[in-house]
Amino acid sequence: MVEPLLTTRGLSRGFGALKACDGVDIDIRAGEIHALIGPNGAGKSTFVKLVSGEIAPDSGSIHLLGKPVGTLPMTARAGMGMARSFQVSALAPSMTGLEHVVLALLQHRGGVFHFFRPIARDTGLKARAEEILARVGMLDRATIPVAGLSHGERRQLEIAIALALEPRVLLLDEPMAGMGAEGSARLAALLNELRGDMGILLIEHDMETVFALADRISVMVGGQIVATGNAGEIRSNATVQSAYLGDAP
Amino acid sequence: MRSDMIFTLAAMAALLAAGLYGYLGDEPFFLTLAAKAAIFALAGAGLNIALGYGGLVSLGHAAFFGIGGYAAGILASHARNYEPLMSWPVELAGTTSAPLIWIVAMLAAGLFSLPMGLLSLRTGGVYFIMITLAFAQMLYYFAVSWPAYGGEDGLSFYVRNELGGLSTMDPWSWFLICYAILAVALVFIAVLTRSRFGLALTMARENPLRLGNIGVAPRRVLLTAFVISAIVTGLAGALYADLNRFVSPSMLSWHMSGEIMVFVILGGVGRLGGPVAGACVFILLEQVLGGFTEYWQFLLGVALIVIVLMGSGGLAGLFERTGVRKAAAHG
Ligand SMILES: Nc1ncnc2c1ncn2[C@@H]1O[C@H](COP(=O)(O)OP(=O)(O)O)[C@@H](O)[C@H]1O
Ligand SMILES: [Mg+2]
Repeated sequence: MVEPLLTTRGLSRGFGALKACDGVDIDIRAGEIHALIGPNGAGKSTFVKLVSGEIAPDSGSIHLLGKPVGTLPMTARAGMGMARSFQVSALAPSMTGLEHVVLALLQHRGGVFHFFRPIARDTGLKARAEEILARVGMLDRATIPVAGLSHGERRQLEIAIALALEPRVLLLDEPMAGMGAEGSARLAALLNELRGDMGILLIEHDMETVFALADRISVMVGGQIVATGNAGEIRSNATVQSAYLGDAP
Repeated sequence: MRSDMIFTLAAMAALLAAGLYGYLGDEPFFLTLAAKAAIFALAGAGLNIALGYGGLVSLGHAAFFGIGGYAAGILASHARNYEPLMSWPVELAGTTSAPLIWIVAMLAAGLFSLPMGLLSLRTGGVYFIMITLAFAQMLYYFAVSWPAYGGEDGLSFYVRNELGGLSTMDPWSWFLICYAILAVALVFIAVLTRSRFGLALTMARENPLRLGNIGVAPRRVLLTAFVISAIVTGLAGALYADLNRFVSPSMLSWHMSGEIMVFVILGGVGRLGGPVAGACVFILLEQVLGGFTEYWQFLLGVALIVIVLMGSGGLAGLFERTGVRKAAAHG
């Protein structure tokens, strides 16, 4: 079997006495959509923050494309092909969606340390950014500063930025929350298209979406992974039934 | 963006008109004031790169202003006294060539800003302000206690430095030189803010976490902006020393840092023409109010509070809002 794109082993992180992540083992394989589900406060966002490098683990290992990255800064992991969307949109209010996506594209196009050439004159860059914005369905709102975008549009922009990084591994923390039915459906279709191009970790509460999209599902409760399997296995898993699915909204 | 351009051109036109008035009316004092405004505007434009575009509240820019000033003063005084700057390991002579002095001033300010930026960028908020202030104060006390270049009394050097065949002691020529340098610096800043780096700097200010997320270390971007900012303010310091043919530790004092910050806040933080308008209005107030009362700085303080309370953007922001209202009325 080919090596997974992303592997964590025994990944742990506490906040005071609380173990937000407690010995988490997860693999994300090339081309799969791997859903991570669990009740609020289970530690899913903490897991994403650990993997992306926003916060440091107390113990455990993270391998990206076979290399240990647990101590590398966020920027280095991004450079190796890891992209992440934020559960709470993290955007620059005065910048337009187009500018966000253009800036993200620069990672693979010579970086940002160029001081003279006007960025607006780089038509190739703009065309590529517009392509991505069209893909998430917000091309017509591309030149409006983020401060003027709706909550749902900001969620779409989050995805566009992640795609602009041309990632090998994509971590999506509740990307559909607040998108509305139409937006969610479009994103689900987009994720379906992206399947195979990259490994995707998808945190999502809506079970229908998860069962429809995910190749594999991991269930997290109290900082621990209590089950991993395909949709059928998870549906019939007794622990999951009692721990999570039973009292899911 | 458009209104920023118009405001910048208007402020520059006003400054040029002030210079012309001094030239045609044969009022050298007025011309010297206009040159001073151009130099202060340049110092403010430098700070604006860090403060306005990078969101870095530096209360230490007097350090760069003073370094630029002392670079000019020290080089010129050595040249005039025919003393080499140093004789070991290589013999280095002073110079009175203005372009050379400008380059040295910019290099010196840029070099000093590197450790200062590295250290202060490890912190944020109030700590950033305090550490930049501490660096500048350190230099200030060093200059006061270092006797070689005048210590507390400062250093005079009788004639302005030389630029080609221009007569730098002629107030009109000198004003034009300062004005041209300011114009070049503003063009440079306009280009910078529209570049890749400018875009990254905006994101570093508004959402550093996101910038890291897309693979760019915010601190590297901010440090670069801080150094560029220091270089521009350093150049202004060299011009200021030449203007007065005198440098003293007061150029390094925290009053000076505060004044440079006032130019920016008064004119408009993060607006290209902000420091130009701010410096012009500052000098105008100093002359007009200063004539009435010794407490004009108190009145300036009141004016500043009013401007800050009216919303961000200072005079430039005011201009934007009236422009928008007019456009709305016409549309
Ligand atoms: N920075 C923090 N400081 C203290 N506690 C935190 C912090 N971040 C998360 N937690 C706690 O860790 C637990 C897991 O949170 P989180 O990872 O956000 O869960 P999820 O995303 O699964 O809803 C929660 O109990 C939360 O309150
Ligand atoms: Mg969460």
